[in-house]
Amino acid sequence: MHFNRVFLCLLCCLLLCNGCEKASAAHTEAMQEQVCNKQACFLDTLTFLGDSTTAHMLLRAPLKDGKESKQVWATKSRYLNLSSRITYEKIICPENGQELTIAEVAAVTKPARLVITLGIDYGVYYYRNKLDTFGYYYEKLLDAILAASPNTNLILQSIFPVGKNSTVITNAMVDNANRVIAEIAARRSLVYIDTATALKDAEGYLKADYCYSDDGIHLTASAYEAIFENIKKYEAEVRSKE
Amino acid sequence: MKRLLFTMIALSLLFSACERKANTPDITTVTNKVLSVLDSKDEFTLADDDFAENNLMSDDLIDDCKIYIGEGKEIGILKLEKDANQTAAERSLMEYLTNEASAISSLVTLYPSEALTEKLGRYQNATVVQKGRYICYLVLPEAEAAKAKDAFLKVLS
Repeated sequence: MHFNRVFLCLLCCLLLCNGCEKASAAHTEAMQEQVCNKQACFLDTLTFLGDSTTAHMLLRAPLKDGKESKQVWATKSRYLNLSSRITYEKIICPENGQELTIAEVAAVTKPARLVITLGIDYGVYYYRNKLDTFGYYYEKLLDAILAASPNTNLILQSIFPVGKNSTVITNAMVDNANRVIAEIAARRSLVYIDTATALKDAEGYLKADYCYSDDGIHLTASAYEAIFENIKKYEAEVRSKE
Repeated sequence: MKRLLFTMIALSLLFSACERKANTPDITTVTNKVLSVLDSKDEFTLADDDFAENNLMSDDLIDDCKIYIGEGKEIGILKLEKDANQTAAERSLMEYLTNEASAISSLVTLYPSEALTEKLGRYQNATVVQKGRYICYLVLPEAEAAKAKDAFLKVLS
């Protein structure tokens, strides 16, 4: 009789503990989900379109699925000019691997949030004295994307600065083009992410730690970490547009 | 009798001129003929109307045009205005092609690759050909450019 009581008591304790453990695990999971939804996973909701510095995110940025990520839209060759051809350029559609125009990819994938970082692959150089034309083709691309996917939240990110080694493109060209992009964002009530400031050193160049190659344009893994950290700061503003 | 003969000859010449005018193919016919001889015609996307105006030449020189853009390839067929200065139009096209080659050359320096080098070669060796009010530029591999040029001249002959 006495043993029965002890056994029953032990069994109850065991069940109680087990229940607590399960509840605790569920709670942790929920917390993680909450944290994920609010912070880290914000980055996972973004799709990135851009020139070579965006294409290289597949190699060096802390994307959730690494090289297999479908978050990056890029051309096969990896460079993408912001020029009069921008709406005809073909990128690889992450969903089916086909080469399609940017608008066609938007129509297929309907991204919720698209971060655009365009200009460093010589657009800033071609149009250094024709900033209106730079803006015209930038907006033409935005219109093409929105026509294909009207609910996409377009997020315009600044062109990244260049390092001291950059021989053709200067930071003055980048800054001028970024002013145009910021104006477009303001006029269209889109979020403009100023990442250029976060990547510059005291002299206004791309920080030496962030320079991946001698051309002064391409970025290291630590630069992409800094870019992601900077983007996270805009989460509330991005959500406010939805 | 002489008067009758003269009238008949005059009418005959008039009909002949009208017939020739009516037989001048429209830009769609010319373009389709040129595209039909290409192996890679599916690669091309028809550019919007603003492309020629922003890149090639002043709008007042162009009556109608069709520009096709492909991967490192390009075809432009332009019908010029009746009173357009054809030399100026050709000069504008040459200037455009030179500028494109220069821009691609900068890219080749930054991103050396076989594809870009081939593209650069195609812009540097682009074919420009004029026939009547039509002017055409072909940024294609040599063999395709020759076929396209023949088709362009043939459809307009």
